Amino acid sequence: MDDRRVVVTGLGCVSALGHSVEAFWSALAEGRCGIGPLNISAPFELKVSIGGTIPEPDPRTMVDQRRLPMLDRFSVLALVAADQAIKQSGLALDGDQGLRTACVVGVGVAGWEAIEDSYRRVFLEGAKRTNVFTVPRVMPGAPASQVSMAYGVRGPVFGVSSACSSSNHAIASAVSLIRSGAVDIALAGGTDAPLVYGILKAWDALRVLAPDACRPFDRDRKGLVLAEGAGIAVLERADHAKARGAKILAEVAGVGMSADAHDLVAPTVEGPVRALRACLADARLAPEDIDYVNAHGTGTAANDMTEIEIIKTVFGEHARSLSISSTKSMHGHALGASGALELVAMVEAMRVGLVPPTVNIQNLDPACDLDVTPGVARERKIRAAISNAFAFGGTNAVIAVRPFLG
Amino acid sequence: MADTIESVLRKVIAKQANLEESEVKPESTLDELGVGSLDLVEIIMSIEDEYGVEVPLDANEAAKSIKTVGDVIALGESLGLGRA
Repeated sequence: MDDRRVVVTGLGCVSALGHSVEAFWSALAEGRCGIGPLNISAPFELKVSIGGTIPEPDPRTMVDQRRLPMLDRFSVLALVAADQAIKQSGLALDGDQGLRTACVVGVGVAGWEAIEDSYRRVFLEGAKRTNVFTVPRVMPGAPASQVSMAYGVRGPVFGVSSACSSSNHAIASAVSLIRSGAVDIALAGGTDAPLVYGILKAWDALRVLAPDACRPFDRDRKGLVLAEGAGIAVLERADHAKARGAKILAEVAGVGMSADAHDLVAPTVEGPVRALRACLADARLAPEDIDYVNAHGTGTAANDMTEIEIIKTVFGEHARSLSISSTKSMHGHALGASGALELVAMVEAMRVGLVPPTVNIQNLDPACDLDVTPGVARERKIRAAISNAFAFGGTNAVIAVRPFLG
Repeated sequence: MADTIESVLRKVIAKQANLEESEVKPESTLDELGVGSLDLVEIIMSIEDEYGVEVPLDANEAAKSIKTVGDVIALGESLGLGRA
């Protein structure tokens, strides 16, 4: 009998918290925030002054230098994360296995670096032409294609885009591909590099960026903090992973998706509730089986208020027994990469038995009357966990994981 | 005679909500006019452009403190807009 459960056999990430899963997890476990002053070239006024910037060394130094002219920053980050995940999985994909492998990478919008660079040259400097690689660098499918080329992935390869839920939609797509029998393995996750002047100006205009810190569930929250990053997971059919003796990190128990069909930016309660319930049903888990919720937790009032209500609606009385946290308070909101970073957080939390905290809470909002794990991590055996992503566009995608028990 | 602050702001709101100015009354709530929190940010930015001022309100604060057309007008008046 086929065992078409989907398991995680490799994880990789790069973010404001460093260049590896180890660095990422140790920061989360210590409640260390990676958000700091922006270090970008701003030709004119810019209101926002903080972000989740990847520290030194520059990830560009970590990829094959011959590929750099074709790589926008979001592709660089995807390659750095994919390399770690593939190494951990022990897979070689350049032989026949690559034909039965997918690569699905979520992207918030596009490769901003090349757009900005081209527009500056064309509009400000009157350049005769843009960089010749602008189009292939910018396209939302570029990170998935770049990873496929670097490692020999020759099955289904494509980008997925649904703003801040892109990663979770990419992971859900990959899970479907494995369950359908189309592939044995899928590299799945997300990437984004939005710390670019023109894009920061656009976010400035939305007036949802925090000037000081990302404080989800705080009475005095001021909004979200943008960040760059990427996360990639190696997902694999359970019998395939077992047959090759792979180390299995977790099982992706279920996925659930829904749309609000209501407003492009304002969230609803009803839409996310359906995604959560679909996820639990897909995982054959009862609400009482969940111990940890990695919240969407952006740090905006609109999100906090609805997310608490969503959790209460789905979990009822059990909501009070849940551990909840927003790791965005530490790695920032990496948009299309957020869900993948949060998958890493969730799997590591489960493996270690430690709930990462929500940091920067000074005055807990009395309306957030659930355990949002303020300040410090908490030891807890996690039987199963879910990660929420509720995006602009009213698109919702939720992932559930649990330990793989054979 | 120059437009009063009230009529300017009603025009701005009507434009954003795609309504006739006559439908935008001081007692109308932004909700019933279909003005969402980001529409409100856009309205505030229009005020900034119209009067060359800066209104230091983020999306969250704006949505919390401004519920009606009258609140928008009061905001404009509190900034001393439209006075010679």
